[in-house]
Amino acid sequence: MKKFEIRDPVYGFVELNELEKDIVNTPVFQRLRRIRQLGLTDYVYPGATHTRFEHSLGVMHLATRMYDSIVNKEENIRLLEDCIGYNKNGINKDRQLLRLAALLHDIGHAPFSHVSEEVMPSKSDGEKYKHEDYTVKIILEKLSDVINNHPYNQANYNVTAKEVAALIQGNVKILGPRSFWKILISSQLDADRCDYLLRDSLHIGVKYGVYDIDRLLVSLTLIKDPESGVPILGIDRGGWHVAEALIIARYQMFTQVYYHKTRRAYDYMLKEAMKASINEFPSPEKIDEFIKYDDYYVWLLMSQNGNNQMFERIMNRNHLRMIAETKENPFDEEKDYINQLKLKLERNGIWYWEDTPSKAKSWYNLNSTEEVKIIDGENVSLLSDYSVIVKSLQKQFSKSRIYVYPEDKKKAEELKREVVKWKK
Amino acid sequence: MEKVIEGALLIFYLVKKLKEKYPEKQIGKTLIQKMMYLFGESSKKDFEYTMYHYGPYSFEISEYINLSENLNLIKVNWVPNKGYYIEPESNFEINGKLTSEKLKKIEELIEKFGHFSANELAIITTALYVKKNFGIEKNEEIIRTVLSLKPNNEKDWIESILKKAKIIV
Repeated sequence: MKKFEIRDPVYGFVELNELEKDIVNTPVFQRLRRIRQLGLTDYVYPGATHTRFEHSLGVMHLATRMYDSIVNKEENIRLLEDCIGYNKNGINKDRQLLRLAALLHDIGHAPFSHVSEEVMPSKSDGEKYKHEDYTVKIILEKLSDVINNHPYNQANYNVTAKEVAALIQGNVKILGPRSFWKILISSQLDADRCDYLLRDSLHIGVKYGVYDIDRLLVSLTLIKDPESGVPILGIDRGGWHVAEALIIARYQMFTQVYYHKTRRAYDYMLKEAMKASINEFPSPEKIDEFIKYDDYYVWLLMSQNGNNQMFERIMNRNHLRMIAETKENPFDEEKDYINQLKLKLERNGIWYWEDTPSKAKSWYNLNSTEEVKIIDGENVSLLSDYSVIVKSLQKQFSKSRIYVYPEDKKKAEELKREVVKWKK
Repeated sequence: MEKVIEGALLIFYLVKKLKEKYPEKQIGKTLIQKMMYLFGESSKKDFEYTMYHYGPYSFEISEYINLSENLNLIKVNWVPNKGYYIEPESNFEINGKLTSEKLKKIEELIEKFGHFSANELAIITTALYVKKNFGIEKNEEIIRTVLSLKPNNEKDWIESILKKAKIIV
């Protein structure tokens, strides 16, 4: 069996087999080289130019290590058998299935990653398409042949494109209990989040997202959720400190990178610039049209539109300016102050944009965090029972900010001084 | 009203009314997740749910639960080896904060599904989700799909739960 190794800045090397190498070499996967992981974050952190391509390889690598760590513990397999009737005979096939789903989980991403979610078209029921809809379509229509008919796959695993798409969708009709492995691609402790914290930190040049991944992998285990009786991911008691470190890493990355004031201004501006030039992306039904769109193509379209003011601002790094912000857990007086300021700006004809954490939803949203469960023998507890730091981080993150155009900043600052500031 | 605030208020009202009608019931996060899925289905509310081996789950609803707790509308306790026990914490007056239509929907929901346990609701919502999203129509196939995830339960029992909930006839 031939193996291929790709140098990776986070893990050293990521190993591929022949099937995976051939998938990576398809045009739809190569497209990920042209989709930045963090949109225009490099306007603030110049190192943030990494792409979905290397992240996808990283998620495959990490999901596999998580899988191996779980199935190598006999008690985890017993729990899966007892709770969901999991059949361990398929363990090698499921490992390959998981690797492909992890490798392809982002293949349907639109240009500039999450920024473009608001430029997605709507379904007939009014709901917007998500990148997962495109991912499933690409796997079924563009990668079926390479997956289903690959000699290495046929000889060893017989994983089908339909199964790979089903794992990403959580399609229990197709996979039954094997859909369990979706939790390694999408959950509070999944390979996606664990990879992007490490990778984003490394490229940006900050240490906030760094935690002991090797300790985490050793500590990862399965727990029977007391309320629902189903197996979920948890951490052995001995590893609770690394779980704490992971939560702190998420918090710091969100507050200091993903929700950075200038980065958020560029998210907004890019979204508006895209809307002005392309209106919306083609729907998954027109998948051949959709995959033409990458960062380069969208940039070209925006640059060809002579009347795209937001794009002009981006080109000149003439971004929106923040004139006021609340604390992370604002007092009512602070909220009142922001409301008064908004009213004052409106009355004086000054345009503003208010940013709140819920508008950053697609990013790792701190406020939707489920608590990590810790297992000690037979006892299942919450991480916050062990960690006072985690307990204190559970407060709602509600920092809101007001931005104006740079040319209005002086006038807006004057108006701001007229608003009585909170006393506390 | 901001969407997240409305979500937090819906959670509060759901917990409050459930506790009034079923004082002894364990109201945990699983139960709330599944009840809110049913609320979304009945009111055409666009909550973002995704499917797992334990049924549909929403990070959005998780955010609303956390916010409701942070606003001191609900109290979330964890009892080791039993899970979450959630209770309404305040005598907050909901009237005027949510539309009467939404309040009525919650009350109807509790009337219809409030007596089911978290595990039963997981079965019901899984069946609804697979019907809607994976194109399963036949009763036998719905039951078989749910059973494949809940092998410790009897097929007849699953069928009876789905019949009681009028998911199948």
